[in-house]
Amino acid sequence: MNTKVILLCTALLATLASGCITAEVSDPAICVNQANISFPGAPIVGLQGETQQSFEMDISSQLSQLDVGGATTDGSSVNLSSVTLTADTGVTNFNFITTLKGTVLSEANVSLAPELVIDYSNSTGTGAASPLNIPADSTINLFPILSAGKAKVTLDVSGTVPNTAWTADVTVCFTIDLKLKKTL
Amino acid sequence: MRSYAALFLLPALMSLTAHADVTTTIEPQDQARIQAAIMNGFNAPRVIDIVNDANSEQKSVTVDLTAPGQSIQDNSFELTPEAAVEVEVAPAPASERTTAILEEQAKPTKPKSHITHFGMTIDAGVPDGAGASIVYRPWKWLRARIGGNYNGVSGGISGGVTLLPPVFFPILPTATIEAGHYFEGDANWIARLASGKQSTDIASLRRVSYDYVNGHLGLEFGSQNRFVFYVHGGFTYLHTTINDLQTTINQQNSGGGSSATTVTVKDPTVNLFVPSGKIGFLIYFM
Repeated sequence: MNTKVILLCTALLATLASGCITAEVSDPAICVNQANISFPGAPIVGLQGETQQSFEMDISSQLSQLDVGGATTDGSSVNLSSVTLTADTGVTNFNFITTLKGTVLSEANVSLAPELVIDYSNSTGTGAASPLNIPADSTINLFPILSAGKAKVTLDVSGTVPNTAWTADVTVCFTIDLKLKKTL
Repeated sequence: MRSYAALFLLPALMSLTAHADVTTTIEPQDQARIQAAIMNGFNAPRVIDIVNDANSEQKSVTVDLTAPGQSIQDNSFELTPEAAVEVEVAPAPASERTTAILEEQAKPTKPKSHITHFGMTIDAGVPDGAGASIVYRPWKWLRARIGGNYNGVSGGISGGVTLLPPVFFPILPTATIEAGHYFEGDANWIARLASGKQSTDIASLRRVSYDYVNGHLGLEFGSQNRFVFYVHGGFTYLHTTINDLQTTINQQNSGGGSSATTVTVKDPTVNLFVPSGKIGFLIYFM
């Protein structure tokens, strides 16, 4: 009997000692709104042109509440769920946009390849009222880029671009599934 | 050996035999005195009770008035009431009914399981907090409990079942499954304690609640019918929602965040799988 008790105690202690903490934090929608992003105008009215604008985004610092130091994050994912453009100044709609490409690049870790997350096209010249909800590639896991630190989002717009500068608000929404594992 | 049974008229269903294992000569004038002494013995309350009981059950009675050390000296026969100490009750002649009853009584019966079914337990652990529960044990191998808990932030309810070997032994292994729910409570006092700042007020800590499920192995020490001390350990699955995270983020960013960038969030859910354990004791009272 003593042997059995010792074995049970040992098994119990081993179970506790080999334990680890795993946590999964899921958020269906975290949205980052970047206001008044200014796009330069095209010099000649009525001609096709291209314009580019970029802004920085740092979710890891802004969502520091979810940052758990020392834990591994294998299996975590951050996926783009939607991108919304809202006309601010200089334009009232986005019918002039023929194509819009959005790329996310890590500024903190240049070895990470940029991800093309927005690939929008509208050749009809209509149906792009503000706010414009642009489909995004929700299959791309942006966690490696966003968790590394600051990320640079670049928007390339082509079409019949206004000849004066215009501004818009850009709202990028993500779904987040963080898996944290910390060995005791 | 001389028998005095003929000296008495006894009930029809009762026969008495009195005798003294001493050979002596009894004079006729002593017979009345001896008779009185023997009558005194029969009138002893304990003898009367036995005889009455036997009468009520229609059983015959044999009373042996021989007592160790009883002696007759100088023709002075003294028989004290204590002499009537051996009383034999014989079963009455069996009728059909009584035969059936006796046969029924003669059947081997299962030994009754002497287990106490109800009790209460008090325990403390993580993430259960401190708790008190009512315990019900329908069988030796199964025990269920339901009760209330407190974790320093709010109150909760919990319940569970424990499986254990169906034997009573001072040390027993157990396996326990439990589930519980903690109602919302303000956990900011913990943040204040940790930060040392009385002004700390985190919005997400104002309404903390969680659900959990424990899977524990354990050992129990003590009497399984009286008092048991136990130690349980294993893992806990815990589910909670971080309430008011938007307000919390706004609080964090109010000190100098970029006004051009705003973050909006929905309250995230958190699922934890963590080691857990508890100690406690259990008292059975019914």
